[in-house]
Amino acid sequence: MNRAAQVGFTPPPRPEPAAVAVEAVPTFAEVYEAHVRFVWRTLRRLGVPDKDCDDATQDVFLVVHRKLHEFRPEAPLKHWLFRITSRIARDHRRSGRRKNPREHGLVPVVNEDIADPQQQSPADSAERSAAAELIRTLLQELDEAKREVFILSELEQLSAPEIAQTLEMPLNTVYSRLRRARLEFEEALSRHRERSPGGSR
Amino acid sequence: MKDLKTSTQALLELGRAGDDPTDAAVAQNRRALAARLGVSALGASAVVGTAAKGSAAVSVGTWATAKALLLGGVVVLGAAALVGGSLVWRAAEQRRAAVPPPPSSPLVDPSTAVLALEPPATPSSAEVVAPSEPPPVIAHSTPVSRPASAPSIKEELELVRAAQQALNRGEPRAALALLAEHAQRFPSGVLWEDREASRVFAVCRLGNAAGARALADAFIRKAPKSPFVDRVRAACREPAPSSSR
Repeated sequence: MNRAAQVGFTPPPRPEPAAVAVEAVPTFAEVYEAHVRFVWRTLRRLGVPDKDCDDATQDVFLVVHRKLHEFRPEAPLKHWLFRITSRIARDHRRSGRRKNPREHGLVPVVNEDIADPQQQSPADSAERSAAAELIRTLLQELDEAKREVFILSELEQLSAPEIAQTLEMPLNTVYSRLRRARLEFEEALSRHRERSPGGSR
Repeated sequence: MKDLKTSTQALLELGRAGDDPTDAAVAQNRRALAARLGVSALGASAVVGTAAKGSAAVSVGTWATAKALLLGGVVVLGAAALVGGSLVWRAAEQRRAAVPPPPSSPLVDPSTAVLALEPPATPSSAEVVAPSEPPPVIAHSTPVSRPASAPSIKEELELVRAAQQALNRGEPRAALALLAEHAQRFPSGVLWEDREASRVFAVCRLGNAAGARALADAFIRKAPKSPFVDRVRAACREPAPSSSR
């Protein structure tokens, strides 16, 4: 069947249909494409091991898929996603090992060693990864409440009112937690530098 | 409030971008998630979601949305934006020619979903970019896709649009994965020209000029009258490749 060849390539002079309304609520596929990286990196920062992040990211979007119709667009989608991601991260940390779809042989293994020439140089990339890994290590020394505030503020760069909205807590609580989180993060970094003189950033 | 030390801020600055997954990891995640949702692509799951809310699967609204998706998605094709109208028209023609599925039929064929879990026949980027081997996806005589009902057109649109968005984001590998999925599911779909043209741009963006030119030549041989011919011919042959970056 080659309909394209049959009908040719010239658009007929048909009037445009009535104006197309843009959907206010995004589709699931749109939510996924826009936020999958945010979910993935948040899971890593919340302490989900790298090997489980793929699985946990899927878990987050399974919940999103189920509940997207409940989402109310008054608040940014990212806030809602963070709360789901936080719950999934907690589950994964608690249960440790989770069933991994790759164990069933259904999902092809990704070949990640092909460097994209358009992306940053390997040296830059390695430096960023190392810094990110150190940050994740230090974050694990904070308790969950402070860790979340710190991630949203210092890594996702949300404002305090946005964090209050995301975590559904009073603004003053955000400020006090952030103050303590910064202090504890600094202390954790100092301890790390003492342990590994010369190897620290 | 007490600020972080400068050295701590520098560490955070450096590490902030270091936690994102690779494009390849996202592409795999996308496929695995689709498998867990029991659909063959995330776009398809969106269709299921729409149906679950009670919308008619074949409706003017769906079609209007699909058109909006495509028209919004051809940014990467630059001057080819006008072509969107043509493609939509062709797709509409095909849709009119097709028998719509009965209302009770599933929008996503489970057998298709299972098939989508198999490693695709053509999609590894290494194969895609091989200059000597134009992808066999332009085989019109052996359509594998279902009849072009509105849902399948919408799925086509969503796949191609997602690929073009990936290209716009500078993620040619993710774009190729999506285009490969399109090729597998809709080898002779109404948007096969969009797919093949986008593939040329993606391969070019990956830095494989020879592969892009080979794909471009194969495309032009196959569809010499395509409105994409000029763009495809120019891809990877000039200092500034045909990208929207």
